[in-house]
Amino acid sequence: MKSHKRSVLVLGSGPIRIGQAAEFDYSGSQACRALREMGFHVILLNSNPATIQTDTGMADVVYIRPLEPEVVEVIVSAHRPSGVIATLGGQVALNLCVELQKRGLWERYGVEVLGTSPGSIQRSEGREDFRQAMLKISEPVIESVYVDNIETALDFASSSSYPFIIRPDYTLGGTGGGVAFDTDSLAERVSEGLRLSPVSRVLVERYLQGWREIELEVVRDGAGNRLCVCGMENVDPMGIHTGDSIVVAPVLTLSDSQWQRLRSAAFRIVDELEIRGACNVQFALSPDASEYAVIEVNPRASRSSALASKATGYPIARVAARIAAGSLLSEMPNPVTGAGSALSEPAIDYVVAKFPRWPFEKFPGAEYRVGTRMKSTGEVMAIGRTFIEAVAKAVRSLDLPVGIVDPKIETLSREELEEDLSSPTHRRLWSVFELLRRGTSVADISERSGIHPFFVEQLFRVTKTLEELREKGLEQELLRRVKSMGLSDRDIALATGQDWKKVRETRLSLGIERGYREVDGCAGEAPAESGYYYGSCCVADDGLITDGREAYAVLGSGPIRIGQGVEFDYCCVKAVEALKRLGKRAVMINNNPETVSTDHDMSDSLYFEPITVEDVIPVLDREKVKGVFASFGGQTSLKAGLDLEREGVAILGSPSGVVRATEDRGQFSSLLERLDILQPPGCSVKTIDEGLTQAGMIGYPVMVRPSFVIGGLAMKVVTSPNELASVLKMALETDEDQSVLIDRFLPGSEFEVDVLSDGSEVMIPGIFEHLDPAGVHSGDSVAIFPDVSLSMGRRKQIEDISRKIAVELGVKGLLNIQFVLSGDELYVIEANPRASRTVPIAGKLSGLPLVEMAVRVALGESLADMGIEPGLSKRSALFGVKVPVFSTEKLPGVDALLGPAMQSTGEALGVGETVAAALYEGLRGAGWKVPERGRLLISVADRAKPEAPHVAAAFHALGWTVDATAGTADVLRNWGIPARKVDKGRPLISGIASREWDLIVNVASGAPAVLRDGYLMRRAAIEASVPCINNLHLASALAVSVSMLDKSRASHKGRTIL
Amino acid sequence: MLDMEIVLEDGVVFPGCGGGSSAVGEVVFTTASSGYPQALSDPSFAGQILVFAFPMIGNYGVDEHLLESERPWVRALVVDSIENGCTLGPEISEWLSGFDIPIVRKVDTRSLIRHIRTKGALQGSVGPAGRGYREERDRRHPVEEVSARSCEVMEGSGPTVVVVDYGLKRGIQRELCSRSCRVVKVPHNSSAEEILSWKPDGVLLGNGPGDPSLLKAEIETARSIIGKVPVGGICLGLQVIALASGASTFKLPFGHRGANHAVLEIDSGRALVTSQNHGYAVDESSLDGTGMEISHKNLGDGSIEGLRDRKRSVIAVQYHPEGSPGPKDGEDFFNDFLSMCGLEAGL
Repeated sequence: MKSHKRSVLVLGSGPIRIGQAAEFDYSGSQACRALREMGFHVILLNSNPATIQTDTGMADVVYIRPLEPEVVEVIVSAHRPSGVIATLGGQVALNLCVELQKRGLWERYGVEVLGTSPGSIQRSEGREDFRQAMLKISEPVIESVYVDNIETALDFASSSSYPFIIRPDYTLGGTGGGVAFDTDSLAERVSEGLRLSPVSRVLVERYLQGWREIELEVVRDGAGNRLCVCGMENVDPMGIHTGDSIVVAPVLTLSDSQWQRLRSAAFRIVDELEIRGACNVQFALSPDASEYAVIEVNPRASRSSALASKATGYPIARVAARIAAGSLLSEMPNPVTGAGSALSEPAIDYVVAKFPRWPFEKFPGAEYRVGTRMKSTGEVMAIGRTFIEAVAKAVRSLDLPVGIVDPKIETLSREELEEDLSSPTHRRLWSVFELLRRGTSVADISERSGIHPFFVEQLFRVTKTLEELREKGLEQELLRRVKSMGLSDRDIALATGQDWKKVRETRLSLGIERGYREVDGCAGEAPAESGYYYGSCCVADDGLITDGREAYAVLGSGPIRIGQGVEFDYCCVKAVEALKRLGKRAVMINNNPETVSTDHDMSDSLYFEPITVEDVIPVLDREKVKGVFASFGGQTSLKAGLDLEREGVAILGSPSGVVRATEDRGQFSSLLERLDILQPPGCSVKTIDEGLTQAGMIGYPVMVRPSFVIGGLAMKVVTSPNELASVLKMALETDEDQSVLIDRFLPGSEFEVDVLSDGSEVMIPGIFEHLDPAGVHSGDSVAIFPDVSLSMGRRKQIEDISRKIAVELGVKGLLNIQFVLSGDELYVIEANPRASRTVPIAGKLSGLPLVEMAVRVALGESLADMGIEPGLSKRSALFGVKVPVFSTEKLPGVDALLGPAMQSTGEALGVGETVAAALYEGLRGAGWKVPERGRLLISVADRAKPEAPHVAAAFHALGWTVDATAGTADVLRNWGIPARKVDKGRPLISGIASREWDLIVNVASGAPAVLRDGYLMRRAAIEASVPCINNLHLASALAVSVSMLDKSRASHKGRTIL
Repeated sequence: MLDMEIVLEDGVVFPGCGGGSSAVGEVVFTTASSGYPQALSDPSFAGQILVFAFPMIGNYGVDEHLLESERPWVRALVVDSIENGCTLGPEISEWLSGFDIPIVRKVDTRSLIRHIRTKGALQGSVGPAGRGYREERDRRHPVEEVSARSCEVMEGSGPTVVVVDYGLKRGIQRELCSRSCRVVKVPHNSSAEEILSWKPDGVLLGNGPGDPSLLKAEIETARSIIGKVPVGGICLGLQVIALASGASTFKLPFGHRGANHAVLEIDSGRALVTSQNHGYAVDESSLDGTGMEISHKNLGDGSIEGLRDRKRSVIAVQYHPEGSPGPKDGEDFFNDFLSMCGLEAGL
């Protein structure tokens, strides 16, 4: 199997979770491309199926398998690669590489670790080693101590001064970190950190309240040449995780000597650590900049390196991959301009702002305060001429119902607003605006928030301008000034009380329009032809050179959120590739700095812009776009597509008529009725009263969901009128035009399909079968592809229904349909005329280029033209099981109980010849550690008690010990299963915390989250990283998987998926 | 209101606002995003209208204790946005108006820079809107304007280095002083005898403004001291050394001004990121027979970034090893210079 070419193994980063989002798809894909360009045979391992990186064409051999030592060994022994690269797959890949180094695997197989060496990684990452290294070169670090028990931490604390920050060793995105202001909280945080750290060690460190945080992205080659690609400044001070901070580039508040001091220090550090590749260096800087300290170093591509790459156009991961393969910076051409040197530091003539996107709207129970523990799931970046323009554009990119102006903030009390200064939440920016409006001084705000006065002064300028607008209205000079500041027509409309269209009309009549500038990495000094642009009001356009190809635009999906993850970016990138292959000019519009779609090498033109009508239309005009694809970027782009169509833009594939027919409850119901297709009885309501009346008629339990939702936002199964009233209140609040659907909740099993339709015929690559019961959001359900338990008749029925719906709607492209099989009837729950979360998986497992086909259909080809066999595709020999991944460990207070509102942040895919094998692989890929033989804790609600013995018996037969809570234990014992009784309450929780069990099966009783016992049990399981299953169906499936482990292993030797 | 303009010699007008006085000079741009006080006070910018590519200038005020000379030297400042921050010193607009230096704000600086990049270096004038292009009248060499009039000695326990001030940046002085040198700063028109009378361990020809080939007397002086004492050169100093050795210089299309230029050290193969500010360069083809060899090259356009003559103990660099503004990645030059002078740097 060994190739004659030099081959290299690239380690990916696995599923998306908080602290590790799409940035590693970006860095990993760049690495694969760079290595292949250099002639390497690339073997890729990554368990995340939703990525571009795991697409065929990125690597020569792709393994979608768990990132585990055993798996790597299988691959290495089969392929015998000459090298491995682990620095472009985040902390997961890095930890795996270090682990395998310790086990001697690389040495045993003669695999060279390329790029930064494992020794250097350990010196950078192991905090004590790192401290020693910094001490050696006299770089100041922050006073701290390592502890593996609480007593040592308290000892250290008594010799220093509070507050302290607690950081567990070797964790992602600062999981488990926290600040302690007194002895009690110190003890609590340390014990939590010890549990979360894979090496059971935490760092207790002096907390530098109010210090600034500056990051540098440095690239260094094997000869010691180095450059700083970008400096970035956190607007929020130390104490707020950099992932949760507003960040700007370049650094705006430092003088040259202050900046050079940090830059030189960063160079000394990467020299000492012998970095070969990319490295992120973080500094804390005292408020007067007289003192600094090194916070940490990440010797790898990171979220920050992705941001720095997008901020400058300089592809750090690509360059780092080349360095790993032996190239020198002094020999590489400049990757942005193509001429000059890769060592030329990017110079920029704009300001970049990054803004985090938090998932709090999904988690009513979550703690909103942001701090040392990263809570955001994704981020947006915006480019503007000035800080204000960049921030205003970033805010627009967040896809929130508010802009810079948020009328709701005016209702908050001064105390609430002021609390946001000292103890920030996701709405801090708006609180600052409002306090400034109410007269709090810049100095006061800066003092209390730790935000540098420069930034507060800038924000004050916005406040003053908005006040002026409120007074004077749409006055010509003022309007020009406000637009060149970067505020949106909507912000101006809100401030002046005008309709935003009126604002737009006025400004257009004054000739106030956008110009587009190229991101060239050299501040205009040399022509770059990067095809990477940003818009700014009232500036001259750089000009656009096109080659006569017809242009089509693809709208991206914006920031990664729960419900809208990297899979939509995958679809966008595939659409761009398809357009290019079809000889079209592909224009990408997106604002997420982490992703592959915003790599300017992917598209012909990339516009880093908010996805709003105001920002998108001028792009379409400039590029003379023939049509827009709004169906690949998830709900964000679909919604934007509707707005754009209203402005006369041609939307391809699924025009507004189709979208409305599926999203508008009334229209969709009558369509299904017309086609004689069953759906759960229900209706659409706009008020709480209406909802209560209708629900009474439909009968409880009911499923409540707002229309136009992402990932089941505010979706809920409701059992009583009281609960319904409170849910409706929340749902109707999210958007003013919102209507809410109330359906009869039908228990049963769910299925879903991704249909490719040309308007008259359909192709279905396969059916997904959900392992979790109806009521659990499809994104959170374990799903098997292709289905395993449907009869031929049912499959045919699903195919027929899908065809009928697609044809009736006239969909030209992809359509996702969800079904529930309840009793003996098949119902359609919903249909979405867009690429779905499962498209990458269906595409990869079936080997069909679904997105490309969808693009071709939208451009006029029929399935027959493309030679596609209609109907349900033939089943392949392999099963795939998608397993969701949650980041609930990052969100204190959140219940892990699944429901109709999606909670997972990512997913892993397991592939095998049997469902059992694939499920076990999938679970491992998602980070589950289920041993062959272990200890089970089972606790189920009364309604599940009749089924519980099956599961318990299965595990018992596999040699597991079975423990159960009182009621459950009684049932099991009566069946003859020897189950030890465990008391609820403290002993149970502390048992979970000390990992007494390897697996917990907990089926909650009807009213979720109310029952404290269950909640505490699940939360304890999350904190202790013990797998916890909420339904018996999945538990049985797992038992089957475990029982087949021997056979599965044999079938897995050397499997590749291509 | 757009009440000011910058007009280029080719007639192209870029409107702005500011309401300050008028100025004429060569229009040049820098791409460095930090260090505006250092750039503005760098005497090498004398006689020039400086355009900043970075759109937000003035964020932290003027750090007066770290300027490169006692005053700003540019004829005018052209920017997109002026921010009146003052965390480190006076506001930039206040500081410049104290020297009657106009600021033109709200200029589409990117378009202006792209124009210069395409057309090459251009003369220009700054003034009230609608006034049109005004030509330069002052034909003096700008070195005369910025050089010290008398000698100045900065005591140190180490070697004596005479630095010829063509418009010397304080950063160069600072680097020598931090290496314990006794630094003697002498005016640009000092004779070889005057220079040698200080019994220097080495002579450093510093940076400065303008066309080096017009500095006939200075070139002559350099010719007489090269070979007699070890001689170093920085920026204009390198060009003077090259001209004194018989090589020639030429005007670059639009100069190198920024903090990001990649330079290759030929012997070691190491490459550096350097700070640069020059509009002229030494012509490589004119080096034959001068005894000078190329020690550094620009990785961007291949132009000469360093020269050396081992026999006559000469080393010189075109970039600014002292940074300020910009990186000090090349500061080893000062150690190399001192060791060429037969001395260990006494850091």
